[in-house]
Amino acid sequence: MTGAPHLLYLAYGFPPAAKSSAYRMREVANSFAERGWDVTVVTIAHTSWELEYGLDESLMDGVHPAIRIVEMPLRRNELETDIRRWPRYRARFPIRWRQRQAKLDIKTFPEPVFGRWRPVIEDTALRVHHEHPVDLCLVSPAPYTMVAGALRLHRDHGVPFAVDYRDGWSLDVLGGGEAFTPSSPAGQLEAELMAAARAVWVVNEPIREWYAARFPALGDRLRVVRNGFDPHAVTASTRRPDPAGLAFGYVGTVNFSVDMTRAILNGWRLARKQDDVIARSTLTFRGHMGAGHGRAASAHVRYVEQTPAVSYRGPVAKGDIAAVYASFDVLLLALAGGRFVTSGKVFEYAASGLPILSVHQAEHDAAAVLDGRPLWVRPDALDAEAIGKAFVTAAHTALSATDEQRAAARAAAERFERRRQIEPAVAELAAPFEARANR
Amino acid sequence: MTDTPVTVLLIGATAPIRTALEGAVPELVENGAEVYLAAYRLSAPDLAGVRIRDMRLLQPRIYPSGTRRFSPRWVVRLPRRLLIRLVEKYGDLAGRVWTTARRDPWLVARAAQADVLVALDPAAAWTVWKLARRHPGTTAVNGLPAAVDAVRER
Repeated sequence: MTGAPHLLYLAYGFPPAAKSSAYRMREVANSFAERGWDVTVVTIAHTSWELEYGLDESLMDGVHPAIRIVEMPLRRNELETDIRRWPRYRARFPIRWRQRQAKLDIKTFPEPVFGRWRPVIEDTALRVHHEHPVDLCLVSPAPYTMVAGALRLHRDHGVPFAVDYRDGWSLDVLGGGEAFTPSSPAGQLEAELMAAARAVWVVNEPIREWYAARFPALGDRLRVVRNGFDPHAVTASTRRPDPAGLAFGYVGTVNFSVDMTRAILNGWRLARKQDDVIARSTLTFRGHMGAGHGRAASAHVRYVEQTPAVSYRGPVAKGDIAAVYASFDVLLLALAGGRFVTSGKVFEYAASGLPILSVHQAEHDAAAVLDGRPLWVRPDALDAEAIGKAFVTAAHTALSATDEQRAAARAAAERFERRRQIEPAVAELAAPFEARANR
Repeated sequence: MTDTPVTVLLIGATAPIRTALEGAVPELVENGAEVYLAAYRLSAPDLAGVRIRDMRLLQPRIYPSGTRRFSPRWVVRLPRRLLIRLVEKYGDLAGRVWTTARRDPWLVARAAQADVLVALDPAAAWTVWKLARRHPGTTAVNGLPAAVDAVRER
């Protein structure tokens, strides 16, 4: 290549942020860097992550050394832990204070919490472009305020951009409906975004269909770029389950409802009464339960504490995740949402080769990932009784599973390796710019 | 680690979560802290084994006024006493916790000695905010992860 093209990647949640989006962002940035691009990643200040889910420095190990990271001096005020910095009104009426803040946020950009970041994001994008002209801007919301940087560069300097939407802005992925109308301020901004974007990536087919219907002009600019698993995150072999007691495990951020936690734990209690193996088994939750000041202090933790043989052991560094999977006999896949939600962890679960007990709606995109996989157990319903029966079935599935079944389960997931998902999309997006650079 | 222990006072409006304390309190102690806990709702047996030096249930109590009934001073203080009773009975949780905490001698003494004040939940933040204003040299934080950071920094 004669002159390397320059990618500006607006990626809130880039490593070392301990966020689930960090893995996808790292892979995207690495893919561009490996193709010879100059990559500038714009994220928020390193220290600001400590207010949220915290930092996982092990994530930085896999970041391409040529990638330049620019940190914006932004922090989420609502997560500020120094009470001396709180105004009186916030300390006395924390909920009313939040509501008042949200009204102020959306005056700058139609998104609560983050809207007020717009000027800093725009200024940072312009500064990067001024220092080293940007050939392509890729923005990965949420927060959606990040798109303000891409739109500003496009409006002022004609810089082309693409959007790695992941879930989608106007789609309420959990509720399954419209998050805002086309005539709302957010709707108008999204229409401008969709009209000008070179490419729009979403994580699953139901979201693609929804966007294709809402913005038919997107055509083949809209594509599915699934999440995936990183091979080093799962072990090539699993331990042999011991009938003296199995280890059930959950790995990932708990973002489902407290009601679902209660149903799972009540199901666990029932299963312990019904089955001797479960009565000797344990269930361990690993990952984040609550963010910021509420880390490890959520209502989920309260229910976990009250349930026999169930424990919460905190988050896991990415570098240690394979060892955690290797310590379990059965994985519990509990997920919020329905057909528009896939989740990131389902791919690691699928690649682990372990039996999976799914607790989520029947019509869920995670089911599309696991469809046809051996060693997959689903309850008939999401009530405690059905979940309890499924715990028993999962235990006996684990005890009777053969090496061939485990190998087949791992093989079925190979197509979901993260690199296989990301690289073709990056290649397609990068190709015109690389051709121009080589001319 | 500091030579003199860092005194940490945890304040909760709702019952503290054992797992959260089990994770953070040993870390605080290992970093040289002595940890005290006051909560508006508290079950001490549930927290057995957690390395808390002393704990206190914040309860509305009737303290001797030190004035003779129907004396002029008693009459002057009557509206204030009635107001406290009203807040204790009908106020929101944050207001009730502060009204109770400010009159609790155990908590007042511990807050005066504390190096770090910690709100364990949103309704406790008002009490910590008010105590922080009374004790300007004290660090006041929201949540246990911030408390661990504050002790490490001291």
